[in-house]
Amino acid sequence: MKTSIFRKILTVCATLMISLPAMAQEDSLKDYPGYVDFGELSSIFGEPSVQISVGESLLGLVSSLSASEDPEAAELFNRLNGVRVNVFETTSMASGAVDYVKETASTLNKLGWEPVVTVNTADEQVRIYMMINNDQVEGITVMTVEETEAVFINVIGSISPEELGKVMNNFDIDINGGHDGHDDDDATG
Amino acid sequence: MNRDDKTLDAQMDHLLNQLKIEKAPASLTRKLKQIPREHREKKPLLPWLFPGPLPKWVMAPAFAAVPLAFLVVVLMQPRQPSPQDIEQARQDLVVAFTYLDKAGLRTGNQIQSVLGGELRHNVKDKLSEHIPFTEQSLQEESS
Repeated sequence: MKTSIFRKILTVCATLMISLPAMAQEDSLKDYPGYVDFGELSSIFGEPSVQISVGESLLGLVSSLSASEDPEAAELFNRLNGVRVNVFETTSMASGAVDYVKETASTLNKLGWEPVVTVNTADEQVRIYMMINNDQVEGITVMTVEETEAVFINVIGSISPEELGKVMNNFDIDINGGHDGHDDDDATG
Repeated sequence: MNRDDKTLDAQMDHLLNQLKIEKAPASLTRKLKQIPREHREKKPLLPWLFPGPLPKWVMAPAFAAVPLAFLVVVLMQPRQPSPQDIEQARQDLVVAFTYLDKAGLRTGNQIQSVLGGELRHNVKDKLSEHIPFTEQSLQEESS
């Protein structure tokens, strides 16, 4: 009996130990106008194949470490508050996926997000939204859903579009095979 | 009881009265004083919840709360990220921005399929003022 209670207490402690830092990081981003609550994505798309959540403190450190080799990227990272990515691999268009994208887009519209790109076809749904305040982009949200993949991105922070373009030119990566240096020209898969 | 017995009793009482009163050892005094304390009826701590004697397990959550509170305090302290954490974050950012670019490429392809190549460039030139990753897609297409 005593062992059982002790084990339960230990389990609760271990769970809190693992989940608290992630929850704290996510919670700290919620106050920013560029934050988007995607809700329970896993209930529609299953478990994510890629899940990224980089908070302000790590962005700051990456920024300071990148300053010498890539000043433009460092400057951009310094003004970002968070980057969140959820990628789901699917075998067919998930049930409720199209409705989810449309509902979320509607919510974003109501919250003052500006739609930038919309692709609305039976086999593909793409939405790109920006939160703009006083001519300053405070967040970008991208939702792309197709048969084989669903991607949800939320970049939070003060973003200069010119900077973003320059930084992205410096990246060279194969999403399916990890970072591949400069060998592969077809970087975006 | 006959007369002799009474005489013996009186003698015994007399002898006992002559004995000095010895002070009891401190340990014995302590143990004797504990007896009424141990047998005192305990008042229930939460009479509305536990009218009878308090079950022993009631204290378990209280004991569990101590290490839990300690853990929470420790976890709330800002943790210094390790170099591995920072490198992982850097790679995560590269992946994140690549997915952003992929979304730009996808929308570019969609525009092309709907409007055709010529119009696509015009539309994307306009779009790239706002979304720089469409510009990246254009560069890849031309290379």
